[in-house]
Amino acid sequence: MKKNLKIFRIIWQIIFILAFFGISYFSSNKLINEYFFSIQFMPSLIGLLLNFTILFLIFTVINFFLLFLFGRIYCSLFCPMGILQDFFEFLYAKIRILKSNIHINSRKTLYISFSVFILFLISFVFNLKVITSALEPYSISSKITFMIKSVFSDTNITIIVYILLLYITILFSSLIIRKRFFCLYMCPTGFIFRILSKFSAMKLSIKNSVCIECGKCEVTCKTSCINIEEQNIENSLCIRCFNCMAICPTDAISFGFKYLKQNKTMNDNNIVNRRNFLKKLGSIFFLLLFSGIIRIKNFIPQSHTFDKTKTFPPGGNTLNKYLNNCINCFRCVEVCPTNVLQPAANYPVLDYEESFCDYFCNDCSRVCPTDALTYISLKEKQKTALGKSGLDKNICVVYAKNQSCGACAEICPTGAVHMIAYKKNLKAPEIDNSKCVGCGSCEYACPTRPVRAIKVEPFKNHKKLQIKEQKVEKEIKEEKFPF
Amino acid sequence: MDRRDFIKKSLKIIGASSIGYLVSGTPLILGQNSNNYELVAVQGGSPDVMFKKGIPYLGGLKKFIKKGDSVAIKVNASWNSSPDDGGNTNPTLVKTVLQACLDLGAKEVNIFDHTIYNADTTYRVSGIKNAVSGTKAKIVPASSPKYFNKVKIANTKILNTAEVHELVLSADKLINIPVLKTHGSTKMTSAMKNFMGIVWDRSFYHRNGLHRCIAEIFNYRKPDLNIVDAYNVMVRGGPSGYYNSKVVTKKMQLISTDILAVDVAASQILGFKPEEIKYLNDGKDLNLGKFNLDELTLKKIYI
Repeated sequence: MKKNLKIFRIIWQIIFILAFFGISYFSSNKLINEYFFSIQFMPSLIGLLLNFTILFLIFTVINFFLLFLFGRIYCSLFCPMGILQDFFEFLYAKIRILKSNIHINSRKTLYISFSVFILFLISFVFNLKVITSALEPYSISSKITFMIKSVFSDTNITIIVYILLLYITILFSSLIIRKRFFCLYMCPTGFIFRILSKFSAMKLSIKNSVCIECGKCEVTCKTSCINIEEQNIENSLCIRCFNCMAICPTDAISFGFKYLKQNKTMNDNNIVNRRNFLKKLGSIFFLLLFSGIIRIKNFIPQSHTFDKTKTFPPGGNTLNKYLNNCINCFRCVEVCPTNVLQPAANYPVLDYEESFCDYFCNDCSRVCPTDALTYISLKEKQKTALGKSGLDKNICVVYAKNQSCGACAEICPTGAVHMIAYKKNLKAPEIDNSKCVGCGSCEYACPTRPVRAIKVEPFKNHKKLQIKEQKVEKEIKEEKFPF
Repeated sequence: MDRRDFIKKSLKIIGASSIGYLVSGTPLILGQNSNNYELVAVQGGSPDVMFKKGIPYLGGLKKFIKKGDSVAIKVNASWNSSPDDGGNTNPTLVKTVLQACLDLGAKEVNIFDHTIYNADTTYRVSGIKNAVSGTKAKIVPASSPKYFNKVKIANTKILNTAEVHELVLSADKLINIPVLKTHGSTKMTSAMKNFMGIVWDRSFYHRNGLHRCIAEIFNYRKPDLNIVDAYNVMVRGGPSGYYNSKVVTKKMQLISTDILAVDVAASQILGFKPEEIKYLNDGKDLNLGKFNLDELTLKKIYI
């Protein structure tokens, strides 16, 4: 029994999943986030399609290289959703609620998987991130971190957390029906891999002469891809978990470079040859490129998905780019220290009634896996306006009640809102929008309810401001006490 | 406590007081000298030296902190402002005070502030996080309403109830260490204004009468000791100092049990007349302390 590969897989999975959740829970370091999460297939692919960068190109090429060399090894080694499913499967087996897997008709699952992939593409084209992020494995795993964080931090647990919890519970309960249920039926990445992995150089195969047809491999297989009666392994489904190799009593299953003999029952479409390969690769790329172009050129407007009264985070630059690239994975929401970034069905938005965007923080732009938020240095961020503020003097405490207030000016980081002499012994706020970065601190601090007297009006495209760098004037002057 | 423990602790106290002796020239920090001034104003040294020189004239810190007390220290750590920029309480002063409390046998020393900017950053930038690390004292979070309890306040016009930080309810002793700054709307922030950071809903103050509320919270609880840090004084651009600010190194410190008197003195350091600042008048109205500095025993020390 060759167990080496399975043991390697399990050790790798443990390390990888700990690193994944460790980093997504604790780190907002730019380099670590950039390099670690770029291996995630769908975020990198979407980032590459919509916002070409060398980093995304490199990691997408690595992903395809791994796919064409080893097959769907990504599903076992790099997909956090896959690793979590393996973990839960292990748990369920321990408490004996797991049903034994038997071979299924791969055609039938292909139809379901294809329909879900089309649904994914359509919602991608129409910018319905609520659907794409519910199907895309990285987004789902990232949201698990979000859930854990919102339970353990000071923030209020919102309805979104409960919905997520329900959805994720359903996903992981589905394992009881069939191992890797999500990968077989729902995963868009899984579908792309399924079409292309048939042509991978290295394959698993059963040596007919040695096999004793004990059927152990068929039961242990995670994706039901072994048909022991036909002694056939469906390589398009195989995720390279190597369970079968480890369990085979006669070492009949091997992993290596192989050009498979064609099964007679296969029709033309399933034959593994260059022509078929190029056809399938071409159609996948065409579909992705086509939907990408619709998004970039904005042929289908996206205004229906965004609340225009809300600003979007720094680094987003233009609303178009932000809405296109965001996969709603909540990574930025997780790291936001002030909780101004609030999760929503389609995109995270800045909610200034809840909190404000810290002038001294650019964490969200450091962690975005798809470049929806491009990295923006702190200096740069402090000169970028997300919106401009406006004051309604009819409800402002100072102007309407003649009382001291100035909560807005007190908190304003740039002096855009400042106090001027108004009446005797009373100062009133005034706005200079040439300095306003639209951080929303004034709106957050404004005491009037239910409507705030001072509000930020969002920009569609972030603006660069000409702000001089602030320096504190200093002086040393030791005097006697004046009293 | 067994004998060994007793000897250990005595040795520690002797050690600490001898260090105090070496630093300040007199073994005063632990309160051997029983001068009873009501307000002490110190000028001319670093914040820790000024505290060590000044506190004996109030009877020593020993008069305020008893063995086994739980002490809560309200600092100002609201802004992303380094110690030199004067936006937050000086970390050296915080460290000196908390260490002195621990040396006197305080059971626990907790630092808190409902900060305006994100507490993780402000405590780090202000240097207070660094000052507290390595000691037995803790920085206590105040970033969520769950740390605040609703209380009733007697004899008030506006602030009948408030959500105050749980430490204010539970601590045996409350020490207030504000930093002296100008303020955009109240003109000055010092000891009294610093206690706006013990409540959760600051917007209530702003909505219903800022000055009156600042004064009325002290009908719930007054700090046992106020130490006003006026080492680096922001004389323009307060309270944040983010924009167009000016900091003058005045090297001053005011120590008093009387929160109104200490603020009256502080306002004069900034060049205001106390009558100009409305919440000081409200404080006088509520009998929080002495408004006229001539009525109290005042000790000025120049180092």
